[in-house]
Amino acid sequence: MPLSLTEESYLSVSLSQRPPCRPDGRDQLQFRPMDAAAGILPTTNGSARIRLDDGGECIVGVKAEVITVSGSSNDVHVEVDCDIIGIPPNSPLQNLLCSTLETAIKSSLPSHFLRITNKYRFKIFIDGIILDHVSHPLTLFSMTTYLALLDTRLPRLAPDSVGEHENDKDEIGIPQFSSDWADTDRLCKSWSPPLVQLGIIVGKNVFVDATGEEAEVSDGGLLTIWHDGRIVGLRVVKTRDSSKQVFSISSIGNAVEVLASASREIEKGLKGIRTS
Amino acid sequence: MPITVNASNDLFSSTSFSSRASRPAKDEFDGEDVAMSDAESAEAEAIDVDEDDDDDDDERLFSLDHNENGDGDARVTGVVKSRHIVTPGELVTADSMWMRGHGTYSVGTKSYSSVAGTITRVNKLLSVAPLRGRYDPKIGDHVVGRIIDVGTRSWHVDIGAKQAAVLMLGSVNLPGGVQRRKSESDELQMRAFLKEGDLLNAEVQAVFTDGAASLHTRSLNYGKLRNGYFFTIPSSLVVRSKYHTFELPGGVDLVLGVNGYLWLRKHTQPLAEQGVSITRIAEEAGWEIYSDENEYISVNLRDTIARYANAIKALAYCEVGVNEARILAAYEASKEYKSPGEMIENNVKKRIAKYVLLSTKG
Amino acid sequence: MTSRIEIYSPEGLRLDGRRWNEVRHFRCAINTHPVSSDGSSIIEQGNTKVICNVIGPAEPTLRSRALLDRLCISVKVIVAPFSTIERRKRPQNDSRIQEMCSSIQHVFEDAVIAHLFPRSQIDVNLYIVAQDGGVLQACINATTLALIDAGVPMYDYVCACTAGMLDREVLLDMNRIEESDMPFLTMATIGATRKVSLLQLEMKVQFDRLEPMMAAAMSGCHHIRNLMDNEVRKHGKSRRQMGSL
Repeated sequence: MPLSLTEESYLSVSLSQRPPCRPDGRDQLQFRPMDAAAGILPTTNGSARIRLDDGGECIVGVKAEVITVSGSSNDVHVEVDCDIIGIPPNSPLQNLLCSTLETAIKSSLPSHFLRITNKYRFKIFIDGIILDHVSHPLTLFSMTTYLALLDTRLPRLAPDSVGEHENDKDEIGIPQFSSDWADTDRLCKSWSPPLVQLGIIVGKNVFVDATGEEAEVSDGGLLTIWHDGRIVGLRVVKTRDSSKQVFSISSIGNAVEVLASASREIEKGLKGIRTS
Repeated sequence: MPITVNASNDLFSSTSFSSRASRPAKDEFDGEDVAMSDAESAEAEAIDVDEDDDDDDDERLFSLDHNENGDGDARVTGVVKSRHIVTPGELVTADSMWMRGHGTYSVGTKSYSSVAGTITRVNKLLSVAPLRGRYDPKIGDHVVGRIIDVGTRSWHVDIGAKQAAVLMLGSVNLPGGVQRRKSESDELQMRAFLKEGDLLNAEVQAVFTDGAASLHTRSLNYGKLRNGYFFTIPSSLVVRSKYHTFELPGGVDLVLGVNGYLWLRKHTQPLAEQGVSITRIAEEAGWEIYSDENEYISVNLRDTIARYANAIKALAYCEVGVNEARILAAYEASKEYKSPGEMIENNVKKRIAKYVLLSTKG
Repeated sequence: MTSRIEIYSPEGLRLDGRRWNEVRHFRCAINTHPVSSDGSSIIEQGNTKVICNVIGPAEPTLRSRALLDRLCISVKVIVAPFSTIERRKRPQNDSRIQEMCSSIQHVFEDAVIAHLFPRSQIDVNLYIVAQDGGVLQACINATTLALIDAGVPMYDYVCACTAGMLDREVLLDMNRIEESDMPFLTMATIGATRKVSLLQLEMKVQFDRLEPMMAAAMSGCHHIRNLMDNEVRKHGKSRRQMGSL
């Protein structure tokens, strides 16, 4: 994002002073309003779309496919992929988004949620398209994925076929699912997906939902993974090409608290959106 | 602070999908027979599109029947409602008395609209103004731009138009004043004056035939911008007026670019008022006009700048045209909110815009 | 394999209850992405859903690609892996996607009054988020609306529709199941005229059956033009009423 030296200087001083002054006057913890919708794509098991007021937009579709596994496998089969418009595939940014989310979901989703029978499991594909982003797309992608997972429903086995599959050691037929649309289970009945947040650090201050220009003058970013009411993962990331990336321990500690608080609020907001 | 997550209300709301089964919802067009036509009768049938009272049939410029005689013309010169919406391919006039302007194209003597927009008639020029489009530079416009490219004797400037604008080396103030002759070293030092990313305000000096603007900064009111904050609003919302630099209460200046690029900064006294004689102004144009250093800007002033920015963005969100009076009114309305950060919520923006429209009426 | 009887019943009803000459549920919106693009639209034709964003006319990103005397249109199609019943990730250089981009580009190079913008570029981004047949037609229709929203001068709407031939029966605007079961063509016309700007036929069909398919597709295109025009006018009126300049 191009900025002049005077703009950078103005923003940098505004954001590093204590207390900081963001260009739109927001608090460090304050998010800009966003539009969200879930259950928008009937070809998917779950879907969501979130739009930010700077034009950033993400659509995520969740699809479940049946795979065969060896009986005792406890692996969680989840694959996360995303297409960021304007960024070539396999770029560091794309890898950051996909691998962070995939690892976070795999390590928190109980494997039995995806179990159909001894031999068959669901594999969850989470695909996102980021149609536009002005600020760093990680938080946007994570929030949309969160909402899409809340919306996800997995079909249940057809009632008459349940018995024969459970008892057989060597099942012959593939699972038959109920064709009744209402006969599905919410993936998130008793589980909340993890939420990844990116906060930027300028001097000793940390900010959530950074705009493109705020990120442009940041020293770096802190990524947190929130699940089950607490922070379960942390990572320092680069938010611009020429960043110093030197933070004090206290600023990281403070950042973690801020991001935890923000994650809690975001979760509340997303859970309030109507899902299918 | 609670986070506002609004439920979407557009084509992507979950109710928009008719159903998950394969039967499409029946709406008024669904069941309509598309006649299996013979090759001859594949012309469009008239479909009455005007459902509201606004446009009567008389006021349509052209009805989709096949009587292409002079009857249409009487309506053009007669009862035409010049705010009638036309769409691409629609016949606008068949009368050759009209000159065809932007937004139209001609086939023989007939003119058709090439955009979706409203018809405007200025004397004998008939044009169609599109509902939406990028900024179109006009001579004399005061704009804010960002340098995107440095050439040998000119810069390319982004002003949000369909083409980048050009700023020639000869169109800027060079340190040392008017008397100074341009030297070759100036060409080599282009980046010392303006480099990629720099913001400046300028006036549109000329517009090339392809629509690209040529800018100049030959006045001390123009030039590199510092001590402030940049943001944009749609150019269609900027009301054109005589002046586009305003001193606002609170110690803030605003440069309201006609192109929708805005700069809010700490108030600085114009050089002309600093009691300096005319001849000395020219010589005073020293290197400081190209400085990249900001002055000290207090916390309060930064807060005020944020407040103005949010107030103007509130007007833009509600598609209210922006001029000095409305900005002042919006600032007044914003005083109700202790922190400018409260003004980013959409309902607050609407309240501010409502207050502005009520208080600046008449 | 779906039996023929189901696709088109003896009473003349298709799988979704339509008659042979009925187009699917059509819904469109214009100016859906005002912040991130110069022109935008979303189109729903049956269960096929396409988003279109247009950026430009603007300075070309690569000087080398600029055309000296006219506008250069660059089309990109992104197919979401979740858009089909079976999840499938397609690489960027998938040949079918490239072919679609190229067809759309050619159609609009002629439809736009290109000589008005020499050395400028328009980027068209199409996102296919749900597929149920008629993808190319939806892309073309969405692009028309987005270009109109961006204020890009065009000679007329470009409207597209599909028509298929099941034995001797012509079917209009097919869904995915129908498309996989019979030869069909996609046609795009210039507005409500008989000028055809795109004609694509995928499978073999007997020559004498081509004309009825084309005639049906053309009517379908004209009908869709009216549907799109209604939406553009509706949008125009509401913008005009909102304007408080």
